[in-house]
Amino acid sequence: MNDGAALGPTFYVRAATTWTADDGAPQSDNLGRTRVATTRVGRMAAHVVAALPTLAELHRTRPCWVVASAHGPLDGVVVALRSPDTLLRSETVAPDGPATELAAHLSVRQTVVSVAAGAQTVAMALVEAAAWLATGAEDVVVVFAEAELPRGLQCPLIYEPLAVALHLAADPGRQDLALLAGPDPQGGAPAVPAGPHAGSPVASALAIAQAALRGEAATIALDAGEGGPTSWCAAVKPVALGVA
Amino acid sequence: MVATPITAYAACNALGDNADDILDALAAGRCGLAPVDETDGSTRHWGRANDPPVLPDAYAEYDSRAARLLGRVLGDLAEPVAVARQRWGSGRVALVLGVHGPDAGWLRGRDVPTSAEQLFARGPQGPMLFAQRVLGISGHAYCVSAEGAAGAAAIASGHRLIAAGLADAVVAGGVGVLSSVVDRAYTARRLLSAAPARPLSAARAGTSLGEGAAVVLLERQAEAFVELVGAAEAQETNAENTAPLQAMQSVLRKSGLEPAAVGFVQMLAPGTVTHDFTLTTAVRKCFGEAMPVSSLVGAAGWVVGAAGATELIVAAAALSRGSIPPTVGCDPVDGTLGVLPATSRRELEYDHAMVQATSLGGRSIALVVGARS
Repeated sequence: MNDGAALGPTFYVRAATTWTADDGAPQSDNLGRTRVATTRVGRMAAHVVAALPTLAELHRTRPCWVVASAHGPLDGVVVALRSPDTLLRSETVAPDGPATELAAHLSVRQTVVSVAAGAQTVAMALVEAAAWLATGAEDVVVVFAEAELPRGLQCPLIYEPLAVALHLAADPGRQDLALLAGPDPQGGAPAVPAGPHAGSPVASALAIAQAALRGEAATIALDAGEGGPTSWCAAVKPVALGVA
Repeated sequence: MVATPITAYAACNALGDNADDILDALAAGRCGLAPVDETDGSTRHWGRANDPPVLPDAYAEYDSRAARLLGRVLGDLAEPVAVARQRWGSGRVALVLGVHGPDAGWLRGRDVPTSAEQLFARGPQGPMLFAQRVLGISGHAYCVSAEGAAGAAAIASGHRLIAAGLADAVVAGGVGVLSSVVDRAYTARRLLSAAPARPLSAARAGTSLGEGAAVVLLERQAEAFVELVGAAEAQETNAENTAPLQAMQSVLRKSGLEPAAVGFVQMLAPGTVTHDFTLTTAVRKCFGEAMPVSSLVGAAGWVVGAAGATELIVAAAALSRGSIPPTVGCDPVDGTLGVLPATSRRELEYDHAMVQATSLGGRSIALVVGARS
């Protein structure tokens, strides 16, 4: 019997991309046959995937896709509730709307899993990725996307929109950016620093991507607030340091 | 992946407040759909579950109809989960819940959430956070969404967590509630029928929405009558819609089974002309003509979020009861579909059944459940 939570898995980070409001409007028009993205979260997700330098490789390896968004297309939900006569497409209100849109954008025929876990969305998306990699998938692309809370919600929480894509693999490649170990249940990692994304459920994904892109070692708290009985963190290590 | 024992299951929907009542109602061919008049004068039929009790004060922050429905089934699962917690440790018991939102009643007429915790507790993940607390488990916990296939997707994820060594036991399933937002999303796609859904029937004209919750307890090792033998998934984005066939063939390969070993397919046939045709075409290509099939949509509705998990429970129970439940509303059966839905209960002498759950968004999950010797 094991009274603790599971020990964290380890991935190789093949590529990482980010999008923030400072980067301008999400560019999703160049993404294959579907040229019109409907939800803001879907456009943000499509933007970071299009920017992945390994995108051509992904068409060959046919990875599993994990799309993580704690709130999904909340703007569509607010519109639906404020305008009861409006008939909205399912993608604009359902939690898996961004995943469905992303699959359509990329003509994805592999599995696309839509994951949400409140404050632990980043950690649990990495867990889902780990499960795929441990059971035979060559690589997994995890896309984190969280829009700002819609003004119609009138919620005092404020954070900026953010999207991150991480191309993860079980085995080492020649141009890996970093090793990512976690999620690990051992706490003690410093919280994501205050800033425009503090409070965003996927803020820790930005910290992971930035550390991987800079080749820095970092231990990152994954939770966005008090989410559950276990706190999760992840460690980013330069590949040279991480190889056992 | 190795087979995973299913040590307990629980469900509620328009057919009953617990799995036994639902299975008895299905076996008797009872229909739980009832007419609902919309303000615009249109009529549709919903499979509305009995109103569940309000959550206890200790869980008031999660209170929603979805959490209440889930709470009802978790009561039936509390004891086996306590045993699993004792056996594996609470940190090794995970939770994966399929949801199909939005259950957004909190956006209408209740206090605006003022903290991230409140926002999560009241949103689509609220029932998952509630379940984690009420079951006293601290392993990985998350929601997956895939419309009507969400519950099956959650069970597939749970199966993977155990296979990957990330959990030793998983509470997996789904919950879905009727809401005007969901109704309008389906109306926009012209998927709803004015009459009760009639899956696989020549007279089918659309689906009926339903609500409910369904969860199973998967364990790495335990005594159980049935087991989840395998799971596979595929995504569709083109008109040929080959994802259901891909998923079914893939799960047979993973399970090391020939098509002839499977006695019937419990399928999420919604009762729409196109989707029933697509799904049965896939079944025919995988198993040949005249494969026995069953769908519960005509009895309980398209139980958004909980549908795939409910279908798994029905399939598991069919193996233990030795009979395939009838497909309510399928008479007269559409003979051009090439499958064999039953208009009344039919004997089953096989050890394996398949569950086929495909979302209207194109995600397809196939699960194989088997009787344990």
